[in-house]
Amino acid sequence: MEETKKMIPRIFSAVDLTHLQPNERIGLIGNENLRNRREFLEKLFKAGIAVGLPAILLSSCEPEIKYIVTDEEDCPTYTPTTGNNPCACNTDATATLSPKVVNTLPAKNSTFINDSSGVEIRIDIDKALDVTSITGALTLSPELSGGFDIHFYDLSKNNLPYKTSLALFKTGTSNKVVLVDDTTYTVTLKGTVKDINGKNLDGNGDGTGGDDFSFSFKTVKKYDSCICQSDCTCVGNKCTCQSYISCSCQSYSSCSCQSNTCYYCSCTNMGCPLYRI
Amino acid sequence: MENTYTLNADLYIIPYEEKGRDSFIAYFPLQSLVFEINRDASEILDSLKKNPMVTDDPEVKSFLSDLVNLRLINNKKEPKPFAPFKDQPTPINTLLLLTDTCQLKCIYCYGEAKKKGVMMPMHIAKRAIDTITRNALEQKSGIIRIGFHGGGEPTLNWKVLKASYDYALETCKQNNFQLHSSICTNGIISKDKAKWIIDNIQDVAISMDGTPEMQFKQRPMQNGKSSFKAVSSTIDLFNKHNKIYTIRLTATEFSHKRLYEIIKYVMDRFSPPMICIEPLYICGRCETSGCKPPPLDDFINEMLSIYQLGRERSIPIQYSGNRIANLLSRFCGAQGSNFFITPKGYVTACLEVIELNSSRADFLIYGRYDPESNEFIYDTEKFKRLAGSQVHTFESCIDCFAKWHCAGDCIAKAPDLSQVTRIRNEYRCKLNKSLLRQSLIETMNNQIGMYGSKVMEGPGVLIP
Repeated sequence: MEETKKMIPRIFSAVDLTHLQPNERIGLIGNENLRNRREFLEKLFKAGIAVGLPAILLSSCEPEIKYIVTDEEDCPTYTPTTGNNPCACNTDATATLSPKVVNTLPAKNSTFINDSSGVEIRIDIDKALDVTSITGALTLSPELSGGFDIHFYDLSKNNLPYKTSLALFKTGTSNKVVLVDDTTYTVTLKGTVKDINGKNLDGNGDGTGGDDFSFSFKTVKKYDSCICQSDCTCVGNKCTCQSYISCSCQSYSSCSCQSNTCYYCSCTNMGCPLYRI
Repeated sequence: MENTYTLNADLYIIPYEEKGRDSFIAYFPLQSLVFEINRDASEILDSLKKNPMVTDDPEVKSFLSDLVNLRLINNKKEPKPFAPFKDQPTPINTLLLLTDTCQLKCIYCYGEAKKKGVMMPMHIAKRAIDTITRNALEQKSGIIRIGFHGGGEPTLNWKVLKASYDYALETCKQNNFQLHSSICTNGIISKDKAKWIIDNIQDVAISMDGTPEMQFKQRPMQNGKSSFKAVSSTIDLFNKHNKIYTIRLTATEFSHKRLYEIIKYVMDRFSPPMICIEPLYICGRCETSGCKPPPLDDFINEMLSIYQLGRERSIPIQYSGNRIANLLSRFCGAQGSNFFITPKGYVTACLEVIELNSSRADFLIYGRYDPESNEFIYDTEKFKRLAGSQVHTFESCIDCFAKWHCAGDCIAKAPDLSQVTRIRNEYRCKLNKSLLRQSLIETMNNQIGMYGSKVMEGPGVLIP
């Protein structure tokens, strides 16, 4: 580079393509990284720069990942001669660390179309929690008429990046809570919540436990039709994808492709990307 | 204050001429991230690719600090795709190449299929199924996969096809496994056979070349007559039963400048769930027929139009080298997992190579059925050479943005298999790069375009 030249680097657009990738790939990019990425894209977006936001914000790392570092120094558990021994892309936090929120549903600061049948509100925490510490520690504002129950999920035996999920349900039911249109809600989990080692919640992520975690989201009224890419078919307000490989629906929740049988993938599993005769 | 910046992510700078001379794409494939940037940004990133950078320029620092936050710079090395392998093959899938007999005499047939060829005997098919079952038990995979394919037309060895399917099914029942089944057929089959396939085989591909004229020209019967009517009857039956299938079509010099119309015809006539298009690779009967692939530049343009047509009709178009959604280190299972059994009992990594006298056999046929031990025996050095031929070892792909997508392309189509890490098939390489570049741009534009309407369904999406 010439020293005299004044460089003015610019980004004209930025697109996150993680929606194209399988979950294990996203697991390797890492939740923390994805969170940074979202913040970066939001920053560009607010500055008027065109962005394609990630369709998947946070994801788990599959136990059988196929994408591994090939450099032994980066991955001590990788042994090329025997193979099939991929690096784990998430390791459990140690007992001395405070529990942290790693994922929320809806996403923090998100705005989404309200589902009149109910909305999943969930907080995922990276450590197993002491269930007794949760009572009275989770609030929703504005309050729901009829209140809500907190369902506690101990996922510590699962190979997930979070070990506890807390979900809100309509009181006395297993139904999702019903929210009001065009409203900003704030969920708060108090710093008094403890993990099974007695460590308090680290709500602000500064490494020290004892502070609250809050996140907000906004509901908007449902529109008449969904927006999907040209290779998906709009039926009513649902996206119906013809096949997984060509699906570019932005939202998995509105796209039936997730459960589609994908014969392209099956073919790949046969070891042959395309048949030929 | 000066800061030092070191790039740790795979990065490719692609000129974006469509947007102007000063526009570039910065593609981080392993991070699933892509930027459109200006020339200054591209020069900075280019420089970073070569060496760490030290700068105190506030503009440059601001730009790079964003990339630091995104962990593209000054972070640990990023994980790369890699397919682990063992010293010995341990397949849980098999493709039984049941015969080299065929009713057709396609002008480009890689197997040079004959009117009367070799039929795979049942004991070899059975042993192949036993082998994958044993591996599946050891690996606790819970599934085995069995496929039927050419050299010739697999349904001509119907007894073995059906018996091996039944055997695999029974084996799966005993072991509480799932069975996955697939077939590739020329479609010249009786209604009864077609019905059986509809009822039993999960993934079905039919090779046919589109219009009656093209089918006659490229895929005539052995007696010189047209095969179109018989094939279309089979496809009609599949459609009647709502069977999911793929039409696989070979583009040649004869479809040059007509491919779009041919695909349109296929869509109008059959409305297939998916169409796979592959350009001809010169091998087998091409040597005698002189058949050639379509001229490359025209084929690229035709494919781009056909992708658009597919989107308009909601019919996916596939070409094996254009896989924007994949991040892989190998193009296909030929590099370490294919366990394809030829009619004579050879173990081949590629279904195009079924005879020992093939010029590619030394590289791709890596084992055989041994009647004395009733086992498959392997040349483990060949196997390891195949399994180790992954794209990060390909010198020719080092600085290619497409490398994790096409993964170095089909190794069987490399011009010199003894130099597979160094020399690529130029035709397919240029085709792959052109189509992938376009797919990348379209994906970018579509994803940005989606925000034109401001509101999307689902959580986690911004409304400005």
